[in-house]
Amino acid sequence: MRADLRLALVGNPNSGKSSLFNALTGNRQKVGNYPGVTVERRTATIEAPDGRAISIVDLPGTYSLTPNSPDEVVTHDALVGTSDVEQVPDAVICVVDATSLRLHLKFVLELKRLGRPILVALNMMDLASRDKIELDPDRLSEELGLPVVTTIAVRRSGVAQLVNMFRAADWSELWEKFDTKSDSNKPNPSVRDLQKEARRIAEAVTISEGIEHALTRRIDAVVLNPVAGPIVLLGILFLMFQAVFAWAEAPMEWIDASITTLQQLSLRYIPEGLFQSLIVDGVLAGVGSVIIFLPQILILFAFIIVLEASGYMARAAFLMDRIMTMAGLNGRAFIPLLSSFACAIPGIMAARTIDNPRDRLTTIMVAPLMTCAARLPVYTLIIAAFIPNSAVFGGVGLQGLVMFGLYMVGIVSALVVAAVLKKTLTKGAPPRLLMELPKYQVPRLRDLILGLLERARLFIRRAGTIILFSMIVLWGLASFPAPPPDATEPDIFYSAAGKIGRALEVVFAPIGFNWEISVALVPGMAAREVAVGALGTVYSLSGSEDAVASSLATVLQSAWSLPTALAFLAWYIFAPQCLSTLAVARRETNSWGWTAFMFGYLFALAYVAAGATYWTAKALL
Amino acid sequence: MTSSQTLPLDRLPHRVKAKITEIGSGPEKTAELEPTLEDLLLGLGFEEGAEIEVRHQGPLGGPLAVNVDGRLVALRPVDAAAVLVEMTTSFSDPVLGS
Repeated sequence: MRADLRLALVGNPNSGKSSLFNALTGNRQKVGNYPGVTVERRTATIEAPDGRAISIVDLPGTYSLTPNSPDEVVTHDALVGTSDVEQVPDAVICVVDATSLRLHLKFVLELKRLGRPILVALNMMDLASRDKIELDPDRLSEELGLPVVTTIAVRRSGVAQLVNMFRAADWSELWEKFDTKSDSNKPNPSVRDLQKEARRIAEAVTISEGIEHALTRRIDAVVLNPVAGPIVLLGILFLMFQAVFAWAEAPMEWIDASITTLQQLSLRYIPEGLFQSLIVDGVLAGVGSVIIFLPQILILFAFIIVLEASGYMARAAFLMDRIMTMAGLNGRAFIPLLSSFACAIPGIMAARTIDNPRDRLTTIMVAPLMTCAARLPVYTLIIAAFIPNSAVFGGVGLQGLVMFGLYMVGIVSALVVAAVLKKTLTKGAPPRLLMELPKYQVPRLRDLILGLLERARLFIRRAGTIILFSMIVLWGLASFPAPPPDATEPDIFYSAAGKIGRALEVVFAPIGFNWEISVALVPGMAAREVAVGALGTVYSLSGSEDAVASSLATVLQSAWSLPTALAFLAWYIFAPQCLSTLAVARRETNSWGWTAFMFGYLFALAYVAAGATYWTAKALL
Repeated sequence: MTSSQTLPLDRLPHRVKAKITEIGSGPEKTAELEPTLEDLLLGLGFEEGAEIEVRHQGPLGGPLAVNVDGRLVALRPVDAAAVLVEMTTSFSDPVLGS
């Protein structure tokens, strides 16, 4: 669609820019990437009350127009007009945090030098009044020579007023009143001059200075305490992993029941033959065993979104900084690594916030060791099948405890690998940590829901495309060639997949994997969770009708020994098995060498860990 | 000569109000896209005359959480040393006895 008016949303990080973008555009957003750099690009087209099409791009948050990081380069280029992607915006909406006016004003003054129309959205007015800060928006508009709108983005307050301004008549009237061309001709002032001017304006428009947010202070007294803080952090992480297990149980059962029903319906209504097998064993058994993990993935993301939006995530980085430094990493690496619990891809991309290139590389290399959500299906399946659902230490579930342990092994290995890398391949001066610890906020349900919907959409799209495709290919490989008439083994044993599996078994037998597992590891390269779907297909095709009806966990209980199951878990702590992660690592490091290194070291660790687990368990049990 | 009350931020006792008197430039740039310490500090609201107070320190000698004109910022002691401050009230700590 052609836009009648192109707007760009800019502002400091933590100014509530994303909330305002959400409030303006709702679910009409398109999320993409800037080519070359992997900075996320959010755009949307909305309609003004008079029917004009307004396109809005949410530029990455920056503290200044000096292009110091890839994010800032994108914003700088888009505003100055040197971007290959963005057309120069007709106007800029600059989001300003009312509780931190002086700092944000410096950026507004810097923007003014560009000589473009700027609309100031004085945001977080609710937090300002909570902190007893009183501002004079009219005076601010006068001082800046720019139109000012007060907003509370999280409550969508002031948003309608903003959208009303986009009407053609109002828009031209607005810019007759404010002349924005004059500033661009003046010589560039120094940062300190801008600060002085920002301070002057802030003082002039502040009616009452306000009190410091008492609640933030009280929470920080506990959360940032050197003793209590780490305990709280550990408690939150522990709660997160218990919740992933406990809360997801019911919805997972519903999904499981629906898939079983679909399979039974297909068995009844589709004539017996190849097509029935494709639907029941290929599509439903395969894709179904992946879709079932949607509730767990959403719970995990819900935690991450809430921790981020509440302001706690930066505190976690603060608390972890010393430990991260010991591993040769930056406290900032904590956020990319924590995101990697959801998926290594956003984690690797989030490493862009680390300004030191060596640290960034180290963080990227160890990000896949953090247990991503795609490993959850694997862990859940094996734990449900082999670890008794009993309680230890007063009510703590053993299954949850094992899950927690798997996560911890991932974290510890990431720290060890990082430390080794920093001593060898990525040697260099210790990195810097400088970041704002934002005021606490109650996360908004609307932002949480929008975030979760996006994750769910991505996951289901993956399930519907790459996973579905792998499942169909695997089903084909597993079904052909047909077994000889005098077959003594299950059908799949004679198929192409069976042959591949038996060939790979030579490599994997020493670490306790049978040929069925070896088959499942191949499509697992496409995405980790596919391995579960693949096991579903392999065992469904190798078993009788009964096997289809009973869950995969039950089938595995009789097919695998406990040492094999444990070795499989150990393999998946390290498994280098996700092509998308490798692709992103290649793009972010811009090096095939480092990508190959990542694959190689992960494979070696996975093999050794699985082998050691298998033989230790065998000796002990 | 600086007044006896002027000291680097990393040596400022916790929970004592001070004013920033000078922001040093810190070590040289090491990479092209890497901002200088001074750029970063200025960007986060450190400026001459700003009110400052050390609030917390991370475990095991970790970073400092510093309140600069109402904004809470985390930075390591080694970087905090580039910021010179002056205590706004004369200070004697009964615990440290200084």
